[in-house]
Amino acid sequence: MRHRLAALLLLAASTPLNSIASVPSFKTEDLQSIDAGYLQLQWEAEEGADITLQRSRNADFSDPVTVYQGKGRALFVSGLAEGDVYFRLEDSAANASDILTIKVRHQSLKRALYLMLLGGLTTLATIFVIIKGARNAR
Amino acid sequence: MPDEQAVLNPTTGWILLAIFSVLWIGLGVYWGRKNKSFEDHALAGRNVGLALASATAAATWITSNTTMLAPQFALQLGIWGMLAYSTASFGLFLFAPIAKRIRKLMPNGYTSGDFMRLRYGRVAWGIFLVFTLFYSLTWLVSMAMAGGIVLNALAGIPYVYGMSVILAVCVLYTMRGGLYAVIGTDFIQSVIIIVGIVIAGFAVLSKVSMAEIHTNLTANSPALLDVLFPAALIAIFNNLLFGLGEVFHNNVWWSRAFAFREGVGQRAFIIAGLVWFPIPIAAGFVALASGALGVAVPSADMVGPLVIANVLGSVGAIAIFIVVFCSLASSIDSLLAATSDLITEDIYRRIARPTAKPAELKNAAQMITLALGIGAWAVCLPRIGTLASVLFFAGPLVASMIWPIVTGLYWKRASRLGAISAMVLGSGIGLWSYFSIGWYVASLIAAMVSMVCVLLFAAFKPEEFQWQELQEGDQ
Repeated sequence: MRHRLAALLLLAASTPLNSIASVPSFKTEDLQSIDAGYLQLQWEAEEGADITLQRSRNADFSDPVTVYQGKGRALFVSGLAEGDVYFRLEDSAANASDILTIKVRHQSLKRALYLMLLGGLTTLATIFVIIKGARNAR
Repeated sequence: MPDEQAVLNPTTGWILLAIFSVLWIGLGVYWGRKNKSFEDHALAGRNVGLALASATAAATWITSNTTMLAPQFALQLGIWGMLAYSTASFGLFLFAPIAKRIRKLMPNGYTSGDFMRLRYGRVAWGIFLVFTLFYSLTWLVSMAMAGGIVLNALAGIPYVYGMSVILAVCVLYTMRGGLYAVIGTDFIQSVIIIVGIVIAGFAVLSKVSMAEIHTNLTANSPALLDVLFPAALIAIFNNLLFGLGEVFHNNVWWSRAFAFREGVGQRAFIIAGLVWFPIPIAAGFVALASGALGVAVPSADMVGPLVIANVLGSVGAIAIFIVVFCSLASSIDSLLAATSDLITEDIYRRIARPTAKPAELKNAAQMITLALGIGAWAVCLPRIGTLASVLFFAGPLVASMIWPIVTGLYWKRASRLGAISAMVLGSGIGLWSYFSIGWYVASLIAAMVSMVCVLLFAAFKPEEFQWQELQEGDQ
C-alpha cells in the first residue's frame, strides 16, 4: 500500500513538471500595472526553443500581433497606450503559455502639465538671473 | 546581458582595448612632461585655447550615458524623452556666461570649493563639499561600473577585467598628464564619438525611411509619438534642472573655466553646447528605428549598440565599442582630475597642509587620483547593480546648489543663510519627494525650494558682499 502511494505521489509530482518544462511561460508578473507605458517581458521555455510572442488588445486574441520570434528569453516593450494589453507565448510545437495581462495606466496628464509649469518657471527664473547678471557685469 | 549576446567577439574587443589603452597612456605621459607645478597639473597652465576648450567641454559631457542612456530614454519616453535628454545641453549654454564671470571674479582660483568658501563661509563650504564629493564619487563609480558592464555586453570581456582596465588606463594617464592629458585626449575622443554617431545615424537612415519608422511606431508604440505623454512631459524639466545642477556646481566644469585662456570660456561652452545638443537626438533616433529595423531589444540599455551592430554589422560593432570606450574615458578622466584637484585644494591645502609648496601639491594631486581610482575599483568590484542607482539620489543635491551658485556670482545681496538654507532644505525636501512621489520630481522640487530660500533671504536679510573678497584666497 505504501509503495503504491509513493508511486502515485511520484507520478503526480513528475507529470506536471514534465509538462511545465515543455510549455513556455512568462516570468514577468501577471496583472501588473505600469505608469510609463514600458516594461521588460521575460519568459522561460525549453532550451533552444524558438518562441513566438504575440500581443493583443483583446483577451481572446482576436487581433493578435506578432512582436517577437526567436530564441531570446526577454523583450523590452515600450510606448504602450492606455488600457489592458495581453501577451502570450507559443513554441514551434504549438505549446502556448498562459496569457499575461499588463495594465497600462499612464500618470495623470494634469499633474504632468502642472509639474511642467513649475519646472518651466524655475528654469526661466534661473535663465533670467544669469542673463541679467551677465549684462550688468559688462 | 549575457556574453553569448555580445555584438563583438572577445578577441577583437581585447585588441581594441589594448590599442586605445596604449594610445591614451602614451599621450598622457607625453603631455605630462609639461607639468611642473600644481597649477600646470590641475589647470593646464590656465592657457587652453578655443578648439581644445570646446572639445573638452563637449567630450566631458558626452558620457557613456549619452551614448547608451539617450537611446534608452528615447525607447522608453519617445520623442519627448529624446528631447528631454538633449536639454542637458542647456547646462553648457548657461554655463558659458558663468564661466566668463568666474574667470573675471577669480582669475587665480582653483576650484568651485574655493568660491563657496570665500563667498558663503565655511559652513556652506562644508555642506557643498559633502554634496559635491557624494555626487562626484557616485558618478565615478557608476561610470567605472558602466564601463565593465558595457564592455562585457559588447564584447564578452569579463566585467571585472573590463572595469579594471578602463579605470587603470584613466588613472594612469590622468596621474601622469593632469588636465593637459585630460583635455588632449578629450579632443581626440570627442572627434571619434561625433564621427561614430553621425555614421551610425546615416547608416540607420540608409536602411529604413522616416515614413517606415513612423508607421511602425504608430502601430506598435503609439505613446512614443504622443505629444501629451505624461511620463515624458514630467521628465523634461526634471532632467534639465538635474543637468544645470551638475554643471553649475561641479569642479569638472569650474576647473575648465579656470583653465581656459581669458576670453575663451564663454565661446567654448556655447560651441560645446551646440556640438552636444544633437548627439542625444541622433542617438535617440537610432533607438526609435529599432522596431522598423526588426531589432529585438531584450533590455532598454542595450538598444543603441544592438541597432548599430544590426545596421553596420561587424564594422558597426567595432565602431560602437570604440565610441563607448571613448565616451567612458572622456568622463572618467575628467572626474578623476577635477575631484582630485578639489580634494587637493579644498582639503589637503586648506585644512591639512596650508604651507605646501606647488611641487608637493602636484604630488598630492597625483596620489589622490590614484587613491580615487583604487577606491572606485574596490567599490565596483562586487558589481552591486543597485549602486549605480545611487547617482539618482544626487539629483536633488546638485539641483539645490543651482541658485546659491548663480546668485552668489551675480548678486551682492545673496546671503550665507540663504545659501545654507537653500542647500539643506532644497536637498532635504527634494530627497523626501524622491521617495514619497518619485524620481521624476526630485530635482525639480529641490531647485524650486532652493530658489525660494535664496529669494527670501536676499529680500529680507540681504548681505553686501564685496567681490574682491573672492580674490583674497587666491594668493
